[in-house]
Order: sequence, then C-alpha cells, then structure tokens
Amino acid sequence: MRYFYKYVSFLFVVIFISNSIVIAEINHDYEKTNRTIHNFNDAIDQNFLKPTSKVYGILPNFVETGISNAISNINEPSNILNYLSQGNIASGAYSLSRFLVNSTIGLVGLFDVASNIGLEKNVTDFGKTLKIWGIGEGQFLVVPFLGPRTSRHFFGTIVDITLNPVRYALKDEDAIVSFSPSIIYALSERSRNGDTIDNLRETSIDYYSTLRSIYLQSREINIVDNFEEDQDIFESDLEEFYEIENGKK
Amino acid sequence: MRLKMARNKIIKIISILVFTLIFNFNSLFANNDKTSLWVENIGKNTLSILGEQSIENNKKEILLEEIFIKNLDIRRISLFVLGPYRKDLDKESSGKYFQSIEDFISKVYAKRLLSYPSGNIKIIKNEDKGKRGKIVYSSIQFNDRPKPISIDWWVIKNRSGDNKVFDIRISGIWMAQEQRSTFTSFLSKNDGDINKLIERLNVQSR
Repeated sequence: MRYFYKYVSFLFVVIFISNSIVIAEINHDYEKTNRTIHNFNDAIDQNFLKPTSKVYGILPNFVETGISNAISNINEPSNILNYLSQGNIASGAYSLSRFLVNSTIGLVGLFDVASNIGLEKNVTDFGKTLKIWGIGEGQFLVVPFLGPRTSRHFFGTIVDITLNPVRYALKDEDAIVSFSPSIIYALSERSRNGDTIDNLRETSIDYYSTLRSIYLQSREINIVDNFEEDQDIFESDLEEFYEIENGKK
Repeated sequence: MRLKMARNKIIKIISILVFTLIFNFNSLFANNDKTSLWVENIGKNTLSILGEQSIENNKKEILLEEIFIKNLDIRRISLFVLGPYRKDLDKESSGKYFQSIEDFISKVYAKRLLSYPSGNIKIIKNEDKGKRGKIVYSSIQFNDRPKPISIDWWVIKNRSGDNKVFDIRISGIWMAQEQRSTFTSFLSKNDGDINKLIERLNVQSR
C-alpha cells in the first residue's frame, strides 16, 4: 500500500512539473557537454565494461539466461503500473499474467515459462507514460553512466529508479547503448554484442552521433506501439530523388 | 421472377468465389514475389559467405563488399546521407564523393557483418509503397543467437528497372538514417565542407 501511495504522489508531481517541460521536438542544445560526458562513458566502457564482460562471457549460457530472466521478472510490477497509468488495462493484465506465471511455475522468474506459452515479453517505462500524457521529448542528453537520454526519458528513468531500484541496479534495457552501471545486464549485453559495439566504434566517422541516432531510433521503437506506421521517415527525400531523376527539378 | 432471383444468386456466388480466389491468390504468393525472392537470394548469399569456414576473413570481406556494391543504390544513399548539405555538392566534388562513399559503405558494412555467423533467412511479408518501392520484411536466425533478428529491406527500382536496396533496418535501426545523422553532424562541425568529409571517409575506408 505504501508503494501505491508513493506511486500516486509521483504521478501528481510529474503532472505538476510536466507543464514546464513540454517541448514538441528533440532539441540538441547541449552538444558540447554531451560530447564530454560521452567521452567519459566511452572510457568507462573501454577500461571497465569491455574487459570485465569478457570474464562474464565465460559463464555458461543457461546461467546467463536464468539471471537475465529473473531480473526481467523483477521488472514486471513496474511494467504493470506503467501500463495502468497509460490507460492500457489489457497490457497491464498481460504483464500481470506473465509475472504470475514466471514467479510460480518459472521458479521466481529463472525460467521464462510465460514466453513459451505465448505470453511474449513486453517492456514499457515511465518515459512512455509521459509521452502518452502529452509530454514532449525535450533535450537530447548524455548522462554519466546512463548514456543517451532525452530529458523526458531521463525524467522517466528517475521515476522508474525510485519505483523499482532493483531494476536499474541490475538491468537497464538501454544498456547496449548506454553503458549504464546496471552491471549484470550491461556485462551480459557487452559480452554478447562485444564485436558489434567495437566495430561500430571503430568504423563510425563520429561515434557520438552514431550512438545518438541508434538511441533515438531504438527509443522510437520502444515508445511507439505501432511503429510500422511510423516508418515513412525517408519519403520526402526519396521523392526528391525521383524528381531529380525524372528531370522535374 | 424466380429465374431472375436465381440468376442474381448465381452472379452473387460467382462474385464471392472470384473475390475469394483473387484474395487467396495474392496472399498465397505475397512472400514469393520477385522482390522478396531477390532479397532472399541476397540474404542467402551473404549468410553462406559468413558461414564458409574455408574462406579467410579478408577474402570474406571482399566478397561481402561485392554484394553491397552490386545490390545497394549507392548514389541515392550518398545523397540521402548528406541531408540538407547535398545542395552544396558541386560537380567537381561529387565524383570524388560518390567513389569515397562507395568504398566507405561497402568496407564498413562488410567489416560490421563479419562479426556475425551464418544463419537462415525467412521472408515474412512485403509491403508495396508504390513508386517509392517496397519494404520486404525478413527475419534472420543467426546460429549463435537464441532468437531471430528482424531485418527489413527498403527496395527501390533504378532507372533500368532493376531492384536496388535503398536502406536496411536491423532490429528497428535504419542504417542509412544512422549514417545521415553521423554525416550531417560531421558536416555541421566542419562548416559544411564536403572535401573534409571525403578525406574522413577515405581514412575510415583504409
């Protein structure tokens, strides 16, 4: 019950503050500061995460999967609360079913039995809840240890951390691009995608911009339910090429 | 009167049958159209190169580069990734730029792909976008991953009517979009100087 009151009071605070942070598009006013913090995060990745993840990678796959499943299960109550705040009762009930199945038959979440019976994992966060409430993305930021965030996502992260500290202590869904201190998940993902991350770092002409683009695109997938409809981002450019080729320009 | 009713009923039944047949025919062959098969072939060729253990990585890289050069619409991608700066591209620098970006894209993506093992490609569906081309949705089950990765292909026709890939979306990330963000950021930091971009591309491609 205390948890519920804590959550409701947060909702009020957010509604109050949200009026002052509504911005329609993603702004990029702090690039210089962002790049400095990006270099810091990159140094953490290269000097700590990368070597440590190699040691973590020695663990057998089933152990890694079990740990990852258990952490994911811990996060389900937060998903339920966020879905309900978004007015999405069906997804809230879906997450509740996943939580009940995995916590019992799945032995405290070590086994993802729910996915095997067709209840695939869904993830949401308070950043998405804020979007549904009409709050704009705000500024693009790079946060020490947490990595790329829009100000809306960052604010949502603070709420999510307060609601469920275990989630961020152990697992951050954005760890692949954030190099966050959510140690276990970050190590697991760094170990699994080590070559991809290193290749990206080596082959990019501007690693900061590459991560920014990947973050913003992946964030869009996470927060837009039907992203298939949102895919025509190139059409105006493509149209222009056709006009050039057809001699209309 | 009865005859007229019976005739109308027959016409109605025939119409429903024809409609059902057309509908089923389309959905039956939706994944087997020429564009989907073309994409499937590229996917299979690429995966077979990745899985070929008798070939060394250097040779694999060259073979992958050839696949990219042959099947990507480099010219359109080159223009797209410049964003608003493409208006500054003059005739003098455009030749150098197109050559540099061809080397950059083929080498960089070949290198990135090399970290993946072989696997199986499955075409899921395709979506006709009219004169803007088609999106072919596929999933690739790499041998070392527990779950398949979704890969979507934006296919367009060039002037000769041949299929070319304009962009590839891997797990939701459009590659050309990612490059555009990077290129425009680089250009904005270098006063829109495309020659500096060409120099940088050449360094990265080495």
